[in-house]
Formats: sequence, structure tokens, C-alpha cells
Amino acid sequence: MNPTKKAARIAGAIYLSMVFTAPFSLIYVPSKLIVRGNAAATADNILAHETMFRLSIFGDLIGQVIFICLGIALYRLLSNVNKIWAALMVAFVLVSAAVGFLNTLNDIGAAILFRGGEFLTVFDKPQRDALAMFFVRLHGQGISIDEIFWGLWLFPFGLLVFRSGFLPRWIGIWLMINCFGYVFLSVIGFFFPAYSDKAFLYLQPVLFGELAIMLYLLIRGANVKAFPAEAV
Amino acid sequence: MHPTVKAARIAGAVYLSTLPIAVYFWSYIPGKLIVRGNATATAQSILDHETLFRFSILGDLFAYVIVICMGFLLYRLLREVEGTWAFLMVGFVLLSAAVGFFGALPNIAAVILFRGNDFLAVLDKPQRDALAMFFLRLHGQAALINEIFSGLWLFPLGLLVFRSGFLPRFLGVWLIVAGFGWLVLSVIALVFPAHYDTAFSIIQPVVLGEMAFALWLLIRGVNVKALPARAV
Repeated sequence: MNPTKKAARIAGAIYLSMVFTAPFSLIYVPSKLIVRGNAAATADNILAHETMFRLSIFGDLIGQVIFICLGIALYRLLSNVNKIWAALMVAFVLVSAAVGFLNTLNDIGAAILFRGGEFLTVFDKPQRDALAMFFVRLHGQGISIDEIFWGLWLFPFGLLVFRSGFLPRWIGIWLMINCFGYVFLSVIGFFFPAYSDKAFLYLQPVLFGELAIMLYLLIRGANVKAFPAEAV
Repeated sequence: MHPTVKAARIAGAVYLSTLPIAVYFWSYIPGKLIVRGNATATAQSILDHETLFRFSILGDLFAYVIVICMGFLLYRLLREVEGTWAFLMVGFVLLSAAVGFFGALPNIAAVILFRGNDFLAVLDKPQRDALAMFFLRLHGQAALINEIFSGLWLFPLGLLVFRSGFLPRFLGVWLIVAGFGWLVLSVIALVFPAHYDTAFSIIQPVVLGEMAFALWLLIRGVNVKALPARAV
């Protein structure tokens, strides 16, 4: 296989693995365990399914590692188009991963407080649960912050796809629009948290840009005939 | 206009733009809303101006995005001088942005606690306010930790400016001295917090090196005749 085509397929495969792991920690487990606004019920759920909660924290961390690998795989594919833009793309990915890693600490903090062993017995259970719930909320806010980077890295990525000549231009434009979609979601999360879910729903078509590039990389790879001479 | 002069002007403009943004979001708004040592008064003023406070959190994040962009613009300008040092400079900038982004989370935590709705009702209002105040303090400390990076990235930058040949050497030296200034300030903040304000007023002229550098880039650009052959 042509080396650039291979690089495209590898990037696509890493992207796919992220699509499988991210929803588990981001959507499935929180929806099963966290009862919004109800600390006691959330405490019961998390203590009853502690392993699942811990697995979701682990999944969160693994997700960040995969994201870094994805950034590097895409850098390999696209750095010949423009090195600086490709480096900026990787930079946003790295900062996002660092913030995401630290953010898992909020979930771990919640788990410690919900268990409330030994030294935490000076707090009543309702107080501990409330504090734990507060850390769960903080984790959600940390994701909102990180969402800015989930958007930002797509701008250089989209621009590179657009200019590459070996990937379709319309996906490049879609990715750049996708960038603003995430940034917009993050701003909504800050000022109008009540509308977050609705905004997420309406922005779905915008956010599918990532799915489009993932499928294209995986299935079609790269259009070898259109390569810049340097990249072949 | 010569492309390198243009690159320098853009970098200078972006560098300068960080200054008003930083002053407004990092010191003006907190100065208005936070009553030092008084949790009740702070709670009142933040709840009265909640949108402004949220806006300042967002502005804080936005400032770090601009800092990342500035790092890359300087990288583009200076990588021909010495790639590895330019790379190190961007590395420090990225770490600083990651710390800064995560440092916004304590401020969000404070808002959640000051509002204190639903599950937080088990804590008394004075307790919640005190916890919120603690998180505001933590945010301030995160900013002080980050001053280490504010200093560190200036060493490779100053060195690159010094060696470049197309920017004045005294600016390079001033930037390196400013780097030491920030380092000293962050050490004083950690170890002798009581003396921070005095130290800041003494060290200020040193730190102004950054502004001199940014203004030089914006107004004078670079000395085109001294550019290395490759970069022309």
C-alpha cells in the first residue's frame, strides 16, 4: 500500500477506536449512575457500581492517550501540507489531553468522598455526598472547558484537509465548521447550562464532520493520484 | 511588505493584545468582585454579577488560546534561528496554557458553591461561602504557579532574539532578565506570600521587557537586511 494511504488508514483506525471508547465514559456511565441534583441517589448508584465508575475513569484516561496518538498520526499524514498548522493542531490536542487527564481527578475525588472511609467520618454522610456531588459537577464543567480544545484542534485539521489535495475539500470545510460547533457548545455550557442538551442536539449535523473524516480516512484512505510531489 | 516583517508585525500585535485581555480578566474583574478575606461580601457581589464573573472565566480561557497562537507565531518567526530552542519555547507555552485552562476550574467551583442550589443545601450558607472563597484563593494560587512558565518560556525566546541577528540584542537580554523576574516572583509568591506585592512593584520594570519586545515587533518588525538567506 502507498505509505500515505497507509498513514491515512492508521489515523482512521485510531479515530474509530476513539469513537468506541469515548461514549462509554462520557455518556453511558454518567447517564446510568449520576442522578442530577440528587446526591443521595447518586451515592447509592456509584457505591453499588463502583467498578463501573472506576472503569469509566480509566476509560477517560485511555481516551486522552488515544487522542494524543490520533494527533500524532494525523500530523504524520498532514505535516507535508503545512508544518506550522500541523504543529498547531498537535499542540491543541496535547493541551486538551493534559486538561482531560487532570480533570479525572475530580471524578476520583468524588469516589473517595462517596466511600467516605476513615478520616472522612468527621463529615456527616449527607455532607460528604453533597461534596462528592460537587466534584462530579466540577468534572462536568472540566469537560465543558476541554470542549473548547475539542473544537480548536479541528480548525488547523480542517484547513490542512482542505489544502491537502488528497482529501476532499468539503470535509475540510465541515471540520472547520465543526470547530465552531464545539466552541459554541462550550460557551452555552458556561452561560446557559440549561440549554446545553438542546444545543447539543441541534448541533449534531455540525459535529458529524469528525465522523465524516474518520470514515473517509478508514475506507478511502487518501487520493494517491492527487499527491503533492513531495509527499509521495 | 516583506513576509518576515509581516510575520513579526502579526506576532507583535497578537502579543500586545494579550496585555489588555490579561489585565482585564486576570486583575480588573477579580479586583472588582472579590472582597479579600470576606466570604459573605464576595458571595453577594459575585451572585449580583454572575454573568460578568462567568464572562471573566471565559475570557481567562480565551486569553490562554491567544497565548498558544502567540507562541506559534513566534515559533514561525524564530525557528530558522535554532529549531530546538524554538521548540522548547512552544513547549513551555503549551504547558502554561494547560495549567491556565485547568486553573479556571476552581473559579467555576466557586460559582457552583456560591449559588449552592439543590444538592448543596445540606451545607450552611457560611460554610458554602467559605469553601467557595477557598476555591477562589486556589485559582489565584494556580495563576501564581503558572508564573513559573511565564518566566521559563522567556529564556528560549530571549536567546533566539539575541542570536537572530534581525532583532536587537538588548531585547533578547531584557527578555532573559524578565524571565528571571517572573521566576523570582513565583518563588516569592510560594514561599514569602506576604512580600509579593512589594516584590512585584520592584520587579515590574524588568518584566516590561516583554512589552518592549512586542512593541518592537509591531512597530519596527525585523531588520530585513540581516535575515538569514533561507528565511528571505
